[in-house]
Amino acid sequence: MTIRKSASRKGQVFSGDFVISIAVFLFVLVIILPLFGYVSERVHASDERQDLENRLLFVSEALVKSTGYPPNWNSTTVVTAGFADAGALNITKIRNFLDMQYADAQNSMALAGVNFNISFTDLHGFSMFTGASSAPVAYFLVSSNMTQAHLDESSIVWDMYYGNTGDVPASNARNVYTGTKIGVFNNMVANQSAYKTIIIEKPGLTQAEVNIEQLKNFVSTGGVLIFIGPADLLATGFSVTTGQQTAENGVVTATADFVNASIGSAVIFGDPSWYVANLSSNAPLEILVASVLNNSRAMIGVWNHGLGTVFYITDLAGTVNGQSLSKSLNIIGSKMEYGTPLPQQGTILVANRNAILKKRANQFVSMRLSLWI
Amino acid sequence: MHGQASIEFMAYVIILLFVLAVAGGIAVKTSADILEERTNADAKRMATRLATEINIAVEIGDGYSKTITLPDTLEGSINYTINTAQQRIFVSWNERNYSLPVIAPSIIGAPLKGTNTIKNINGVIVFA
Repeated sequence: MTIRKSASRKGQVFSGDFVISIAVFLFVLVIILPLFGYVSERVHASDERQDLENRLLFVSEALVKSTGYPPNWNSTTVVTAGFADAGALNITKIRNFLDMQYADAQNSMALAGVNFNISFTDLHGFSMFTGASSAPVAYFLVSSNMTQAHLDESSIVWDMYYGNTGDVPASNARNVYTGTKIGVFNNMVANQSAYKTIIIEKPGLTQAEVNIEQLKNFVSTGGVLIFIGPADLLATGFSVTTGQQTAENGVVTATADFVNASIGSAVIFGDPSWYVANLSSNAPLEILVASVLNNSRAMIGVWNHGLGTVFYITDLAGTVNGQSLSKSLNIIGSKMEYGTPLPQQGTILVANRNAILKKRANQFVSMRLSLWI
Repeated sequence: MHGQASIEFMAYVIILLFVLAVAGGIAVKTSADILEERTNADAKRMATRLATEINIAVEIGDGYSKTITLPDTLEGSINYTINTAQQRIFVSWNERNYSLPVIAPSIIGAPLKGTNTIKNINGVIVFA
């Protein structure tokens, strides 16, 4: 650069150089600083993502493979969440987790400040629920439909089999089948391979009227049968005996993750004229609500039959500790999903872990853990 | 005009010093941020490595044994502590801490700076 020197301005000959050099320096600084900030931000974001991936890996693994701490934790005592017990996921721990506050759940997974969503599905993609039912559900009804409210309130996938000639009750059932009650019942058991659970409410049918062998086959091959009302259909071939009695109230003798009431609670039924009982002393029936007059009679009970499970409820219209009986039974339960709804945009990291869930019978499930900042 | 030249020169020097001070301050701050980021990353890397070693020891089962070495400091100068409790591994440094859950139901001993042997003895993870 050439600077013209003036004899009268000798002291200022380098002013231009200074100004230009400062300007260039500042210009470069102004360019470099944001650039540096940008690079720094990208590196930070990359580190953050790497950290999130690591957390996803370790947290999802710990949830399905560890007991958590303390080992028998609940929603108030939990320090570190883990659902496993003896090689399978413990449904009680999952229920406890669903009861936790969101921030507590984050902390229990070492995910403070990280958004999460955790959900469980079976291997066909149907959402899992904490109650006795697994999707898809077939629901057979004739005139009494107390169970329907629970099905409608949940988001479980279910089909209605309506064995009546009247108007079909409004519902959110996936499919509705109607006709004579014998015809609809036989249609339902013929479709058994499409269902994991069959709920039968006060059918008013006897074994001789229907294809009972198909219902037995459904249970013995791993299905869940929830039977409500007069137990004629269970009279033979279901590992227990059934009978009628003078209407009596009951008392809670066990909960089995099905009855939400403390042992000893009084149960008042609307129509408790039927019961189930063990055929022999080493029979499979677990009595959950016993008759107050004969504690070997189950007014609510559960037992395994073959590979499947049968829940018997003499009547849903009743109360336990003053609460609605139907709401005190885990027929459907809560959807096994917890956390913040997944965002529509942004990066979400997802881990799927397959595991065995121990309910009455073991079930294969897939746990999906999603994380995002 | 010699006096004016000196004043202008002084002004330029002051401006230059100011710019230098600002640039230096930014450089120092940036350098500290970078060190902190690198320390955080180093701590998380170590926690991840140790959690991986513990989970591998659990998965492989009884009889597993492996020697691992942990550094004396993070990023060559930052002191840290490492601990296992409550089915987690904790790394603490500069009043910060980081934890990861592990699948070990029971851990005896704690990993130390330097050489450690991690063993699985009948399902219990032991640091020696």
